[in-house]
Amino acid sequence: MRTGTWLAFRELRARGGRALLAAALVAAAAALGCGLELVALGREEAANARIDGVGPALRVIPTGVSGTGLARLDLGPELLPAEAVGQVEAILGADLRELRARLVLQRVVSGRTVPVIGAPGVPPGVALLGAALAEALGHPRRVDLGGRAWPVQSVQEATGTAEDGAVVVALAEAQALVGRGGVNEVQVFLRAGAPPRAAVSRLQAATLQARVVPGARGAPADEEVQGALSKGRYLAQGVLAVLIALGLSVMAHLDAAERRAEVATLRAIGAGADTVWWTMVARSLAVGLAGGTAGAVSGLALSALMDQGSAPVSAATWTTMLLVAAGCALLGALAAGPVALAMARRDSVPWLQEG
Amino acid sequence: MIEIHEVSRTFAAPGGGEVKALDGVSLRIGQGELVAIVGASGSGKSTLLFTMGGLSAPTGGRVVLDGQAVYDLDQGGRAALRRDAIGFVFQTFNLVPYLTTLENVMLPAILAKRGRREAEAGAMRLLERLGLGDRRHHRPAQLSVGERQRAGIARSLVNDPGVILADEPTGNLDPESAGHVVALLRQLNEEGQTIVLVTHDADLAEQASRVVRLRAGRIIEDRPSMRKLAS
Ligand SMILES: Nc1ncnc2c1ncn2[C@@H]1O[C@H](COP(=O)(O)OP(=O)(O)OP(=O)(O)O)[C@@H](O)[C@H]1O
Ligand SMILES: [Mg+2]
Repeated sequence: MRTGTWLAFRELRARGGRALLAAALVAAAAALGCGLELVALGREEAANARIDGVGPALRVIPTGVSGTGLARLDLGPELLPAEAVGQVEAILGADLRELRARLVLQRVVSGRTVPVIGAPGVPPGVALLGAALAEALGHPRRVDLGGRAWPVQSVQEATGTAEDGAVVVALAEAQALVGRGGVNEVQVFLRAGAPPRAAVSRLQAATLQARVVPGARGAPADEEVQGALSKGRYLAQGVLAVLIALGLSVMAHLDAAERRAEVATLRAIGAGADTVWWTMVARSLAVGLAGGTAGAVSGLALSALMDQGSAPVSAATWTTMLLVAAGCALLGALAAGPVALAMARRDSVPWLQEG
Repeated sequence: MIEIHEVSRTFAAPGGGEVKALDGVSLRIGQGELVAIVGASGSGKSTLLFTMGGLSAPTGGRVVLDGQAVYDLDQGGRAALRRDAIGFVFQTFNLVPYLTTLENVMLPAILAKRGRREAEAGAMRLLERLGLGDRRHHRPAQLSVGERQRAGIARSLVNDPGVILADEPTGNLDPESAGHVVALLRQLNEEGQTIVLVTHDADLAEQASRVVRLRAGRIIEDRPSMRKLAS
C-alpha cells in the first residue's frame, strides 16, 4: 500500500496534466453542488431559527388530546401525569434550553369563550392579553374572568398563532380556577443546534404517559417552498455527482489504457495485484480529493455570491464542505476501482512488449 | 536450479482454433549457466521465458525453481517469487517512465520492503558499477537506449536474484550498445550469475555457454556454444 501510494504520487508529480484537468472538472461540479447545498442549508437554518423564536420545538400534552385541539388551545380537562415534567428534563438533558409547564383552559372572558393559559413567570392577579383578543375587546383596562376583574398588564405581541386570541395568567391562578394542581402542556425549547426531530423521537421512544407533538414548522407556504427546494436540490446534487463520477471514470479508463505496459512491468518485477490496484485507485482518489476540496472551498465563496441573505458560517457549513470533499474522494476511488481491478488481474504478459 | 518438465502452452487463436506456442518442452538449467534460447519468430521463445519466470501459467507440465513448483504457488506467492528470485530484462527496457533511473532500479527492493535507505544504497552501487552513477536523476526518456538497458539490467539485479531472464536484451540496441550489454551479461555470468536469454542474434547466442533452439514450440537443438567448445 505504501509503495502503491508512492508510485501514484510520483506519477502525479511527473505527469499531472490530465489529473489536473480532471481535478478542475471535479472542483467545478463540486463547487456548484456545495454552493447550492450551503445556500439551502443557510435558508433552512434561518427558517428554523425564526420558527424557534415564535414557538417551542415541541409540546408534551395529555394522551387523549388531538393535534387540532392543541392548535386551538382547547386542551380540555385532562392533565399530564405529575412526573411528566421531570421525565422530559431527564430525557433531553443538555439539549434542553427551557421548559415551560402550562395549564390551558377554556373560559368565558368578558363575555367570550377564549383560551386561558396559566403560565410560569406571570405576576399574580394580572392578565396578559393576546394581540387579537385585545383588539376584539377594544383594548380594555381590565377583563372579567371567573367572577373577578383582572387588570390588563400588557398586550402580547402578535405571533400569528392561536395564542393571539388567549388570555395569559399566572399558573397558580389558572390552577385555582379549576380547583386542582397540575398542568396539561409542557412546552419544550431546545438549545440552538439540537435537532428537534431527534428530540421528538427520543421522547416518543421513552413511553411517557403523554403525547409528544412536534412544533409547527412555519406556515404551509414556507414548507411548500422548502419542499420544492429540497427536491430540486437533491436532483441537482445527484446530477453533479454523476458528472463527477463520469469525469473520473473517463480519466481512469484513459489511464488504464495508457498504463498497460507499466502495469505489466510492475507485475513482472514482483508487485502484488493489490499494489498495482492501489496505485491506480490512489491516483484517482487523490484527484477526487483535491478537486473536492477545491470545490468545497469555492462552493463556500459561491454560496455567498448566490445568496447574500443566508445564515452565517456554522458547524453545519464545515460538515457540508467536509462531506463534499470526502464524497469526491470516494467517487474517485469508486470510479477507478473496477478498472484497476481488471488491470491488476488480467494476464498482462502481452502488454510487456508495449513498454 | 530451473527444471521444466513437459511444459506446453496453447493460446486460443483470435479467429478460432488454437496456437501451440509450447509443445512438451523439457529443460534443465543449472546454477551458473548462461543459456541462449534461439529460434525463428513465433517459435515460442518469449512464451518459454515467461513461463519459466512465473509470469504465464503453462497449460500442461511443471516448472520447478530451486525445488519450488512455481505454479503451485498462488498469484501473490508467484509475485513474491518474481520479486525475490528472478530478474527480468526486456527488449523494450520497460522502465517506469515517471521514475528516475535511481528510483527505477530501487523499485524491486522497495517492493520487497527492504527499507528506503538500504534500497537506495544497493541501487546506487549497481548504477555506479554499470556506469550510470551520474545519470541517477535522469528519467528514462532522458537516457540513451544503451543506458536504458543498463538501467534495466541494474533493476533486475537489485534484489540479488538467483536467475536473470532476458528477452532479447539487445533487440533494440545499436551494435555498440549491444556489445556493452553482452559484455556486461557475460561478466555477471563469470561472477556466477545464472542467466537465460532469448535472442535472434546468432553471434550473441554463441557468447553463451549453451544454446537451445526452438521450432514451433519444441526444442530441436540443445548444445554447448562455440565459445564453450573452444575453451
Ligand atoms: N497472448 C497470445 N494470444 C495468442 N497467441 C499468442 C499469444 N502470445 C503468443 N502467441 C502465439 O504464440 C506463439 C509463440 O509466441 P512467442 O511470443 O513466444 O514467440 P517468440 O519466439 O518470442 O517470437 P519473437 O521472436 O517474434 O518474439 C506465436 O505464434 C504467437 O502468435
Ligand atoms: Mg519474443
